Amino acid sequence: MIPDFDRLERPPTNAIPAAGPSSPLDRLAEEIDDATAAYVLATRAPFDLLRQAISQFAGLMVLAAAGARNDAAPDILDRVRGEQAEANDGIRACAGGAPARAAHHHRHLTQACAALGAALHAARDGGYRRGADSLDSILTPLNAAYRHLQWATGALPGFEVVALAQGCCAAHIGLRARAPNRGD
Amino acid sequence: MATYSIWVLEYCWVPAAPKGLTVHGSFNGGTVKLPWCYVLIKGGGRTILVDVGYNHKDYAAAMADSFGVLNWQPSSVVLAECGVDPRHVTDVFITHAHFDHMGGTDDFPNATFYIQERELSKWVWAMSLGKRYRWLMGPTDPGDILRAVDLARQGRLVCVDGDRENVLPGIDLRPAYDTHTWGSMYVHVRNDGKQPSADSYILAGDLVYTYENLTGPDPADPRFIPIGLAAGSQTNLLLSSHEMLTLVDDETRRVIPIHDEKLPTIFPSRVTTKGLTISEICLGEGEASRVA
Repeated sequence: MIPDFDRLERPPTNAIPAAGPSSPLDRLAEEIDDATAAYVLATRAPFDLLRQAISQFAGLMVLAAAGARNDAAPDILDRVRGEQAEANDGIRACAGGAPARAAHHHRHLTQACAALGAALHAARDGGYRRGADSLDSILTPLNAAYRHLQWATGALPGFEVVALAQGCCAAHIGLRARAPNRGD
Repeated sequence: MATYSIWVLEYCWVPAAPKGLTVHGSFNGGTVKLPWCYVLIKGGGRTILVDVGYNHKDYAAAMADSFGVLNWQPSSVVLAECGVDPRHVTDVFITHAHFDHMGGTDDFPNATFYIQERELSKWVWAMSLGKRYRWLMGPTDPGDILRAVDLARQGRLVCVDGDRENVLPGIDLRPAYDTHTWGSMYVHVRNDGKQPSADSYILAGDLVYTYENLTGPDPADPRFIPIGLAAGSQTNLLLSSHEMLTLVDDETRRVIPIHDEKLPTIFPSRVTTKGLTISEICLGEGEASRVA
């Protein structure tokens, strides 16, 4: 949780410089051209859907692999399928308009979506509950989907697989953004 | 004589974290240094860790550049200060599934990992709530969960359902449901092996960040103040503080808040050649001091 210092009547006792940082979208505009920025905005929703779907699927798999009960598994898989399909539509919609700067990102996003689709196919008919071979057939593409998503984050700014700012030990980011330098 | 030796090992730190994070409501309290640590427990033929830090391989740049994490050192370097090779770690207790506590599992190829089943199942539930609830999911890395699947397949992940007394001789895992996270847990080391114990320590994970959570600003007139970040309930955090203190007969110093920068002033400690601090909580039979 990042304390919202702007809403307080006075600043913390440790002086925090008032100069505001540029917002993430401002920084995005500084780093890339308009066409690429438009692509980033258009693909954030599919990216988030893939992140969500992979996360849910991974959670389901760890419970299955550990032998834990999870009565909601079929519903979760249905939801993951829906998210994958929606992400796929979004990614395909952007394919024609992806500028050259975004081609690398788009390739990884496409491959992440395809790999997730392969993992879902392997998990059909309760396959996630069966033995090690069955788990392998799911986990291999699921891991690939996650890796492609990670690589996509490195291809363009504006994407993150894990919201580091929400880490319990990372709430100082607000202070960092306001500090004049990054020294100790 | 005590069975287990316990050290709190700093592996990096954040120089200026808002105090409001560590002590609820201290929004104008300035900043504090926040050491990031894991706990090493040795004894009875076991080498045990409580939490494993973040995944430096994937997030080093983000953590250093954007978050100001300083002086990160790998587990091989940190543990060597106590004569331990990461490959020799036998057991790891994950107090909760946030990326900064669960990301380093790959470093311990021979360890068995323990986590509350509820921590995972509620995470899956939270993801079903939809995009507007994504704050609940942010600090958990899908990559950590995928690595956990591999651990489970190898038979190295134990999903604990509630209390697990004597998970190892004299060591209990206790859940603190719906507190910092849905399935947080703490580790109770009973160094005399007795129940109740007259010589025990609590490794509190993120249920407390500082002794001030247990005492308030005036230890002479103690009151509980929760940490500043809870997916669950602040009331439950206070109740878990009470429960932990009860287990150590109300001796506050025996509840170990790993993020408290004052910990090295309360227990014997030293600074390593890498500039990291080791706090020696207790020594088991036959174990040499690592801070002398």
